[in-house]
Amino acid sequence: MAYTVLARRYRSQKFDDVVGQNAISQTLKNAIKTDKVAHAYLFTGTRGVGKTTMARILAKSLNCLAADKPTIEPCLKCDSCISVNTGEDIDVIEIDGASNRGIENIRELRNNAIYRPARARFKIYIIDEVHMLTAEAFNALLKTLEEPPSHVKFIFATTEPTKVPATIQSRCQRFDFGNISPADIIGQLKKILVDEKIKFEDDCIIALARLANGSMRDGLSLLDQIISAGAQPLTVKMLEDLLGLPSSEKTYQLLEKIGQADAGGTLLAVDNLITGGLSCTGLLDALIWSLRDMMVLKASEDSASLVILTQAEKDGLTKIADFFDIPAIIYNIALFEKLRWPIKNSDNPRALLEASLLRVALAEQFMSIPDLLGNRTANSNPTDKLKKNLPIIEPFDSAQGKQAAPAKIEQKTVLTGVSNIEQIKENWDTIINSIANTRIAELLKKASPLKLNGNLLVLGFNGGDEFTMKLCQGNGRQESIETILSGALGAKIKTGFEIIENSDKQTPKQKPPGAKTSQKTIDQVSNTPAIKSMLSELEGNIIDVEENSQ
Amino acid sequence: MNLSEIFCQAKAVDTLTRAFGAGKSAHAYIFEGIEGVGKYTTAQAFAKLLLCQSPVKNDSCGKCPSCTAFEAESHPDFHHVYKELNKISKLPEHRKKQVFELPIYVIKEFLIEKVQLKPSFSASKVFVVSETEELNAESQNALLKVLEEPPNKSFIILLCTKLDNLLPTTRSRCQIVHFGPLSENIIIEKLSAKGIDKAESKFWARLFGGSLGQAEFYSNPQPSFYKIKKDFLNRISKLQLGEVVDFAQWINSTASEFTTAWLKLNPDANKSDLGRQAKRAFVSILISAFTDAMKMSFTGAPAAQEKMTNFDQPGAIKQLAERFAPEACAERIERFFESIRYIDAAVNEKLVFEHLLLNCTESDIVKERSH
Repeated sequence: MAYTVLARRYRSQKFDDVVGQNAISQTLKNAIKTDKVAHAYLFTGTRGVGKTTMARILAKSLNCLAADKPTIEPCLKCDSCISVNTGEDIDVIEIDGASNRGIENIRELRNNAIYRPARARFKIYIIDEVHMLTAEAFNALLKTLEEPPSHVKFIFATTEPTKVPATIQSRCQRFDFGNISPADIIGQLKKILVDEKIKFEDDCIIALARLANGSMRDGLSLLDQIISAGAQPLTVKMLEDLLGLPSSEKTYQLLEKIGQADAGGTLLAVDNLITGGLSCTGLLDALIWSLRDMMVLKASEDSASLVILTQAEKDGLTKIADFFDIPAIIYNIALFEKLRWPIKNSDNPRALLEASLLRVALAEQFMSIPDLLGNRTANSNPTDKLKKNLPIIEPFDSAQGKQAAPAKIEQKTVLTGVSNIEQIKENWDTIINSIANTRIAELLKKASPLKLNGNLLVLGFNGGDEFTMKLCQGNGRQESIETILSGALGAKIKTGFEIIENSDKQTPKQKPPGAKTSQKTIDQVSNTPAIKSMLSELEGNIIDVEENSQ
Repeated sequence: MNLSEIFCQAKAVDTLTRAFGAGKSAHAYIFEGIEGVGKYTTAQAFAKLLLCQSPVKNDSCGKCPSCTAFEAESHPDFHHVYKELNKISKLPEHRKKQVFELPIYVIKEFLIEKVQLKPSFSASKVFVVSETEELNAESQNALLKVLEEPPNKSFIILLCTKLDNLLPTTRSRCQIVHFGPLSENIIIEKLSAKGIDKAESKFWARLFGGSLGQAEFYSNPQPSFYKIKKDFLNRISKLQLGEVVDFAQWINSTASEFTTAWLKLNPDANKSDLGRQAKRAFVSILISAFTDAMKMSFTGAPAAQEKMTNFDQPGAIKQLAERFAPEACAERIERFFESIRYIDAAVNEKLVFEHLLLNCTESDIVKERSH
């Protein structure tokens, strides 16, 4: 009851069967038809795209005993065809280049090549994994390869053409096998499943095709694996369970938490994924892929051909895509890619993964323009800062640079000599807008002044913003908030924080859509230092002011 | 051991037995998972099943000549391939070499050549290759043809801890079976059966993320690493700048004490491997402590304590959490991982630990300056 895996059982037998390599099939067929078959071929391409398969088909076509000359339709029944399929033919010698890589193996080949084939037209040497031959072996082959006896043909197959010397390549006709398109993989998998009489869900096949990553053999190996689980019909759930893949739903959840800068939620989501049996590298890869898909969805209108997603996945991604802008996605992909190496080389990488994800969640994604300009006025050499702050170059150092820099900016005084809370409440928005440190301004936006006791200003947060409050308190931020507010209010201020149970936070009145901004607002905005310097740097005018609802 | 007796890898075993039951066992498998979760044990049991002459309910019968031979560890069609096989190579020059990775001559001599021979006892042959993450590019390439179409109905099982070290061409030819980490309770149960304290078992189980093998190794009572760990964390939690050099010295000497003790227990092991293992353990403990501190800052002390690795030293963790903000913890964890790399790269050990410990005090210096 020996079982042959699908990838072997469904190895294509004819030129027309080979999926996704039409150009190459056609060229080879024409060569056979017009009797212009070269004496040496080099097939290159990634794993599982049909190199060995094509080599065997070519060998069968050249040697088929049923026809009296090379044919494009090998009979598949004669002795020669059958024994080529098993790699045992006496005239078609299939050599494993990786385990017979030395010069002595090639010498042996050369000595045998001079003898005529035993029964067929040609003596065909198929050298698979040819890139592993040693340099001496390659060189020993050169003369024979250039002018072999008329009855000898060489077919080389390799995944790494760069390791094949140029002198070998120039003596061969080289065919580059492209990756197989997802559509072709889907088609072939469906055909096989119908042949095998196995029921399946379309979504499952789409997911499989994506995992196959351009290789038919990868796709078939995976298919084999879920078929052998025994249950029918095949579903996405089975695939995820069996392969220990993260469900896309959970991955998106994690991304959502990161996008919302919810650190506790991020850690929970990671825990959730890892206890589900996912490896750390797997998780990282899933994140990178989801970000990549998100980027494509955001960047291109017609993304159908670029992403392989089921409808549910598409909806999920579009939903969380709002939390990221394209530069942030690119930055995160670069960061995660950089993280892959330490993670895959670590014995217990979970702590590292959590630490890094936490920092991504808490980090400001990019410096805002006001921040950058603010630095510029404070520091005379802007390029210095630029290098330090733009995270792509040195992601791990960026956080320190960012935190230290804004503190240097002097806080503009908004009010002088504050004594009552009403005054602060009225001017709260102006105060926040005047804060040059965007991170702190962002945090304080969620707060509202409650009361003033002497020089203790109590700030209130809504119940849902408890985490923001903690952020305000932790990591020395309270001190910087105090310095900033003291500057803004023109008096020494201490701060306290409180949670407001029922939200009485005033929401600013929405201006009707389409209405023009009043001159007052424009004046107010243009007075903030960041905008001021931006206007003078760029020689611009304010046309309209739009309130961002967040 | 039969497949049904494997207690902790239900999912992997289920995948294998189902495939076997459906007559669809693949010819090449990769068993992937962290160290010490039962990959080799499972591979052996599965091999026994594949070789068994009259399987019962998708498991080996335990009675047929094949099973008997297998249990006596003398089955002629079961081959275990590992790097130390070079010591019995037929070529004397291979025998003398010290192997760091799984070399191509071992693969050639003990797998590629043997797989060509017909099985002598059962209907097929089974090859189990250990530590395939150490296969170098030559060895993997040499394996490719055999993995794709093994002659004589052979089965090849590759055991691997780091799937990324295998070439895509290798991976694409095999079915990958994932071995998840063991649950905490199972490890505690197993260690308790050996007479190890429950709190200690719990700690090791958590530190190594569910690897029974690792937990067993470190929980070895003579000498006790656990006691050292407690001292270590207590000192770390209130480490002052002035102590760094002495403390680093202490870590180094303790690590070498453990190395010699372990070497006595297991004289065949490589001494420098053991030394690195001891030092890595210190860094791992440090990382776990900072991770705990980081989590504690978010979830609050009582909630975090349940899930913490260092649940037995809440005081020390709390002190760390007070001294370091979560972001600072995260940053330090990243640096500690770099230290592990230094240890593996055999950087001067004293410098590594001094650097490591300076990181644990650094924020204090910074704070003093800002005042």
